[in-house]
Amino acid sequence: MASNLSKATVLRAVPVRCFSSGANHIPVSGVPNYCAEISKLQNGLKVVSTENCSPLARISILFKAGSRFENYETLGVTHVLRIAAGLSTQNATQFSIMRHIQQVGASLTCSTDREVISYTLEGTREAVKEASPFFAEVATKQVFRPWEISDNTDRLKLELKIRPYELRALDLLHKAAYRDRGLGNSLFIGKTKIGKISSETLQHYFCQHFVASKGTVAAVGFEHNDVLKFAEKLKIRESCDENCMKSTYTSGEARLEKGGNLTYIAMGKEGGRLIPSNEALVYGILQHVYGTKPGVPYGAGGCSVLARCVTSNVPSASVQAINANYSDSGLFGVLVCVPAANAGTAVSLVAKALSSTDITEADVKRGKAQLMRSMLSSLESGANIVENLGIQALFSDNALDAVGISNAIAGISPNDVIQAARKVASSKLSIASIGNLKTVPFLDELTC
Amino acid sequence: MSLGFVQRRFMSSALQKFAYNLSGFHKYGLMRDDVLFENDDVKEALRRIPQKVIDERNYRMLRAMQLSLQKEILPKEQWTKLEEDKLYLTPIVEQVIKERNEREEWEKDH
Repeated sequence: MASNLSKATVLRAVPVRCFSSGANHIPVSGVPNYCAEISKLQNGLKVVSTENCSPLARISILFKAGSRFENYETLGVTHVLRIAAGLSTQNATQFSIMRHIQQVGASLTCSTDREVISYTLEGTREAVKEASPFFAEVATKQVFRPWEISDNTDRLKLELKIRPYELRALDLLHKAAYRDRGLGNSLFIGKTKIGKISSETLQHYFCQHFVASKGTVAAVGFEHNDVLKFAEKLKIRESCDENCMKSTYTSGEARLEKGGNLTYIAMGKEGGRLIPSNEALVYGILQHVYGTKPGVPYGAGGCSVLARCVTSNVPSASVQAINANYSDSGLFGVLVCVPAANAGTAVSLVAKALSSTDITEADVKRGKAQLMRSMLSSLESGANIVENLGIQALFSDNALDAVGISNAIAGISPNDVIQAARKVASSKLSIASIGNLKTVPFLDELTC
Repeated sequence: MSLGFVQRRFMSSALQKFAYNLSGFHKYGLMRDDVLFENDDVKEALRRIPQKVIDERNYRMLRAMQLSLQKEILPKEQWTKLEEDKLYLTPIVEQVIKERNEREEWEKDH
């Protein structure tokens, strides 16, 4: 016992010393060419970690348990799971989890998307070490006490109320494109399901999906061995089977009349998958070719495809390309926000733009540069690094660092992007709209 | 813990039964956990048990009050027996007290 203790302190001393002696040379956000190590435990849990010498450390536990795994009976369960992060677990009460994590100044977050549920702890190195037992409890030893769940239903209602229309349009687009199954499931619980998700349902979902073969532990700011030890101690159940229902893209439409002056329309076609990562990057470039947020304040009229085709004709429209990559499918499209009177024109122009293949090499060059910029600036933050590493490790067997990703972007040929644009153009259109739908055409009324 | 220990080690089951029968509430068809004083801990514990158990508890209490008003007791075959008197609330009250102690300990130190 004593020998173990001294070993641990020696291990702890090393990174702390590295940091303090290198404080004058290393930027606060750490070094960009961190090299990620990845390994797999016997029970199938993947562990990925990197040391970027930043004073902030982050550790994250991810499971493939997002809303696409819900079925009709359990719709909305992931939303409740997100709310339930930090409630009492097998060995710690809600009170002690909250106080211990706050006391050391760490922060614990839980986020869910359609594929993944992730729990992340961030703080200074010392804080993360001290709070990590509580973090492990929160992510892997949940018990869903009925009274605690019912105490928190008001938070569900609040989250439903504060959803912006942009978000709801995207949610509806998934619903339309994947027909209410798998990837079509909403990220939010339905109004009629509030209070109807019992703790048995939660426990069953938890046992089914929070298993070693569907999980990954990702860490930034730790030695790989330390993270391995942490992951081994988690004792996550091994799984029996991994049956993921495949989602196939089918075109469709969804409309929600809400009145008001504005219309939010999300239009999409089948896009690229998450893996191979090249495919996701090609569609990432294509997204920038079509145009995302303006790179200059108030610079709406840019040189992007959408600016050429849509904004030049309907200046009041705000348009932005969207690109969502999932493990077996993807959505590529455009999100439009426009005054209701101009919605019809904008929609038909966007539909036309989505089926054109009029992309030049200069466009691709610009798209590449913009994607590189946005990727690198997002990977400046350790929070995004840990999320990025975790997701890469979860869906493939290698994890690229920021430098690796920018090299991969540089290596993509313009022809790949033009091919992707052709594929998008030939795919069938899905359309989802919310707000004032006075002039929004139905799917079969669009001529293209 | 100590009381339970004494009960288990030194109180024969016959003596326990005798003490239980002496208490009297069983003649109204009540159970031990029905006559707990409702302080904040017990109120919190009541919130945590299933509705069915609450309904049964309320029925027993209503029946006991009705009997008391009428200055009657139940027929002997309907009295609660010690073997049938399940502690449905005590474990949860203990849990609530533990949680409260944890909170109070934390407040002392921080």
